[in-house]
Formats: sequence, structure tokens, C-alpha cells
Amino acid sequence: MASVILKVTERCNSNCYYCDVVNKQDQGGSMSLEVLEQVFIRTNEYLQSLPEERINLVWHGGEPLLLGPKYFNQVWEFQQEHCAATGNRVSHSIQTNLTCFREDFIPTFQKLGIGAVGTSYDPEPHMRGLGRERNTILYNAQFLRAAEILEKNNIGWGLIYVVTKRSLARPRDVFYFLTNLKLTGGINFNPVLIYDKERQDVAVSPEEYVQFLGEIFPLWWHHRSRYPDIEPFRSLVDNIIDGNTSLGCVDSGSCTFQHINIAPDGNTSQCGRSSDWGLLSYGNIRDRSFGEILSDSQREELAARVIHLAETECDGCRLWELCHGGCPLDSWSKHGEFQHKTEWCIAKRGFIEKYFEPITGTSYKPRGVLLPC
Amino acid sequence: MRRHIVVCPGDAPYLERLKGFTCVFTVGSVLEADRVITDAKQIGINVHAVAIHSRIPLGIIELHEEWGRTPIALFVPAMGMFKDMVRQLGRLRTLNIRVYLAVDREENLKALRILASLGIPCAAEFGEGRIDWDAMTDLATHALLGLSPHGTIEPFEEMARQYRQTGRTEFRGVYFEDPTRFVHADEHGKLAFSSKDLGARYCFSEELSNLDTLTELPAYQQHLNAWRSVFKDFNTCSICAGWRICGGYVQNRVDDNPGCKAFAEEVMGLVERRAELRRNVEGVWQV
Repeated sequence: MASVILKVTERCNSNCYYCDVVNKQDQGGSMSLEVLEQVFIRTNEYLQSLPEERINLVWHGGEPLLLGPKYFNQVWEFQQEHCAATGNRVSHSIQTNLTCFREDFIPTFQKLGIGAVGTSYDPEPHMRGLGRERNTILYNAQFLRAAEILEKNNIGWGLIYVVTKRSLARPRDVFYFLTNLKLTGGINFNPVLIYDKERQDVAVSPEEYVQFLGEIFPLWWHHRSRYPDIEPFRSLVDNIIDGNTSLGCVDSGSCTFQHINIAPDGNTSQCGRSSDWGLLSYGNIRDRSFGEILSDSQREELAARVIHLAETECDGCRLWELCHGGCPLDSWSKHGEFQHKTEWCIAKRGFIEKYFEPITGTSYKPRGVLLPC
Repeated sequence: MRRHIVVCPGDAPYLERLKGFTCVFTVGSVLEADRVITDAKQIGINVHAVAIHSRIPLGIIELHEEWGRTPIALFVPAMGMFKDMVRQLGRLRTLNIRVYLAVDREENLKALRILASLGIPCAAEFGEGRIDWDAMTDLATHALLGLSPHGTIEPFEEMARQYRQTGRTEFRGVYFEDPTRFVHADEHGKLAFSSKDLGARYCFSEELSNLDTLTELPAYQQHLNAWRSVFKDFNTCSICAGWRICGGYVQNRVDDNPGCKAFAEEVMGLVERRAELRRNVEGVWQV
């Protein structure tokens, strides 16, 4: 399935301390209806050419809900108009801070089949907040009101929690807070990614991230039926203990020919980060089809990276099948090129070897599958 | 639509208006209990329970045979002398009584154990004073995992019945304070969700006539969702491991409560352990 990440706006009502979009000098505004319509023309064209294929449209930003319910109703209308025969192979996801979510989004969400939304929350004051003054109190009140509306309408929601330096003082409090807030689970603990010198006060090293996970992992492991679907723990259990293969885009090594990021002006790239950094530009959807974009020759470098790493830096690593060298963009941020393993390798390995395996009493055995499917 | 159960004074001047409702009557003496049971029958009110708040210890309070199977929530300050209480056992067992004792008095923790061991259903009321949380945890352990047959000790039994690992636990019905089932009315017909709220004049409606449209009131919806407000703050109950079973109830009831977190977490573990034991009933290995 192809994932099309639609950065429909770079505007955001929140002013999260660790976010790159807020601090970006050249914010690209919002996606015009003309570009939006082109998205559905291209979607239909792509799906018609591949009758077995599906597309997931990921509504992203900035804050996508700033565009309002009418905009998303227009999304539905464009889909009806341009994907009459292929619309059943289009699914929608959304990543939102929820603070401008209201009841009047519900009908459109239901029409688009959005049964769950992805969001983020931080209990630590002044990490997330509205406006220039980063108003956490207002942010939290609006977020909690939105969660209430979602639950009343049987729309699920999942949380990303960004682990920062401030999290390190209270890992257990953070864990209990989030698992109390979201009792049915669906929580992902990700490390903060800071690329500038100004905000190093919240940056965490891979070792610190491991330390954070190590504090909360025993709580989760001993009561995992109480706290379902907590990442990265659930995935590691899936892959290491249950023998399944379910890896996210960062670890799967297979994002190469499946992802398109579309900026508000219709320009495409591999993902949000590559777009922000001006890398891997695949042209504009006005000029190129999704098929052409997905087979752009620049992607070969990403495909070659997996093979290269398997033969060089990652050669002989027993955890290779769990990370495939990690995200190429992490390599870029550290080395200025894609052909290295992620610096978060230390975190993955550190957590598995120091905490996961000893606490669960398991030992990971590779299956001998060198390259991702 | 299911109507709320109205918790109101047994001598409220508006009882006639509650015809057709189900009520919990709060009274201060056993004589008042007798009277309100009779009145309710005449008016056509279904009696969910009569809550008697007495200052007389259990051992010497009068228990009336006429109450029959009417549920009686008997709030007493203490068990009293054991020899006196033993004389009450016959009626405590035949009548439909649950004995509530405030656990901010140390002797009541022991009394609850004694009563339960005699087969009397009872309940720990959190009271307003300091609580020995270790002793409360011991009581919970006895209530939930004690091997000898005993009467139920609330709220632990209700917690065990209502607990789901991935949800909030609603056990306040034990105290007639589950807002989805009970509404409290004062003598003037003002409505609130608990006697404590009524006492603090924190009423969500001034009008008894709102009983039939309760669930449509914005204040009602706000109250049902008030539990979320704890997550505006990175402290207090939001970071408590036992929040999913306690829901902040203890924190809201007891002012001076160091130790309630450990208690709530422990009770949650006990509830899970009991469920696990009941799932895994294995045969005796010899046979």
C-alpha cells in the first residue's frame, strides 16, 4: 500500500518547543483546492493503473484541522468526483494536535472512514501550548474536550509522546499519566529529534532514551494486559517473542518505494523530514503521476542503502532484521549522506540487550532474512 | 430512558412528587426508617434502599423485623461491644442490611473484619480523618483473597465486579454516588451528585422538576466528563498507578491521605489476582 503524506498546511496553532515546523523560516502556507483536487486526480490515475493497489492518504501538517470542516468536506467531494471507481481503495489517516477539533468535523470524518486519529500530548507544562506564549492550560483543556468528543462518537485516538530531557526526571509519572489518560492504549514513546543548537536543553541522547524506556519497560512488561499497545514495547514483543514481522517505517527498510510526501504547493518528496530539508525532491504533482514519483531514480539510492549497510556497517549485526539500519534521514542529519546506519542504532541495541532480553527472559534469534520484502 | 435513583431525605416535603421514582431515603434514626418505608409504599415510590445515619453503635441500635427485605444501608459510628453485637446477629443475618463503618477510626477496620467473618455484608466508609492505608490494604486483601468464607466487604467487592483492565472502575454505587445511576436531592429539591456536593452547595440544578431531563442538562454532561480534568495537571491522581481503579475517589474524600496511591495500586493488583485465580481453577493434583 502506498502512503501519501499530505502536508496540507504548514501553519500550526500550537507552538511546541521541539517542533521544526513552527521554527521554519519559509512556511509554505496551505494547500489550495486546485492542488487538493490534483491529489485525487493522481490518486485515481494511480489506482486505475494498479487494480490490486491501495492508497492511504495521511493528513498532516502543521495542524491540518486549521483548514476547517469545510475543507475536509471538499476532500470528500473531490474523492467522490475523481475516484468514483477507486475510492473503495482509498483510506484516510490524520495526525492532529486536536486542539481545534470540534463536533462539526465528525460527519466528514465518518464519510472519509476515519475511525481513529493520531495525536500527541505532553503532561509537562510549556512543552506544548497554544500561541506565542505557549499556553499549556488552554491547549490541555481543548485537547481533553476533543478527546471527549472523539470518544462520544466512537472515534479512536492514539498518542505520540515525545521523550525529551525533561521526561528523564519522571519516566514513571509520564508512563502512568499517559496510560491513565488513554486507558485502552495506543501510545508511542518516541525520542525528540532536535537538529539545532538552540534547543539542546530538551534534546536526548540515544543512551538517555534507552534509560527512559528502561525505567518504564518493567512496569509495562509485568502488567502488559493492563497497558496494551504501548510502543516500542508491543512491536518488540511481536517481532522478538511472537515471531511476527511488523516494523514501522523507520525500521522496516521498505519505505523506499511506498511513501510520497506532498507539500502545500504540490511539490513532492520522500517524507516530511526530507521535504523540510530540501532533499529527495520528486517534482510536483501537477507535472508527475504518483507512479512516476514512486519510481523516481533518486529512490534507488535509498534502496541501495539497505544492501550497502547489510554488507558494511551492519554486517553481522544480530538485530539487523529489526531495524535495517534505521531511517535514512537520521543518517543524513548526522553524516550529511544516506549511506550510514542511524545514530539511534545505539538506542535500539541498548534497549534490547540491557532491558528487553533480560527482563523478558528471551533472546532474539534472527530469521535469516537479509533484505526487507 | 432509565431514570436516576433519587437519594433524598426521608422527610423531604416533596415526597409525593417522587411517585413512580426509585429512591434511597436518608434518615437519622431507625424510627424514621420505619416511617419512610410506610410512606413510600403509600405514595408509590420504589425503595432502592434506606440509608440510616445513626450515632448509635451497631451493638445497641434497634433493628426492626418489619424492614423485611428492604435494603438498609446502616451507617454507624462503631460496632460497639462484641457481646451486644452478637445479640443482633440473628436480625443482621435475616434482614437485608449492609453495615457501613468509617475507617478513619482504627477499631472500625477490625470491626469490619469481624462482621464480615460472621457473614454480615459491610462496607468501609472513607470518613474524614486520617486513614491507616496499610491496615486498609490488609482489609482489602482479606476481602478479596481471604480463604475463609466471609460476608462481602465493600467497596472491594464492587471494585472487583466492575474492574476492567483498560477502563475506569465505577464503584461509587456502593455509596450511592455513581452519577450515571444516582442523583442527590436536598430538602429543597436542589440536585447534586453526592451528599458532599450538596453540603458544599455545589448543585447542578435548583429544580426537582429537572429529574426527568437530567441527562440533557449541560451540567450533567460536564460532571460525567469531569474525570478528564485531572489530566490538565501533571501531579496528583493523574500520575497514580492505581487511578484506573480509584478514579480519584479517595483523594476527593479524604483530605489528609498520604499512602492512598500505594493502597489503590495494591487493590488493583488484588482485584486482578482474584480474577486470575477464578479463571484458573485447577483440579486437586492427586485425583
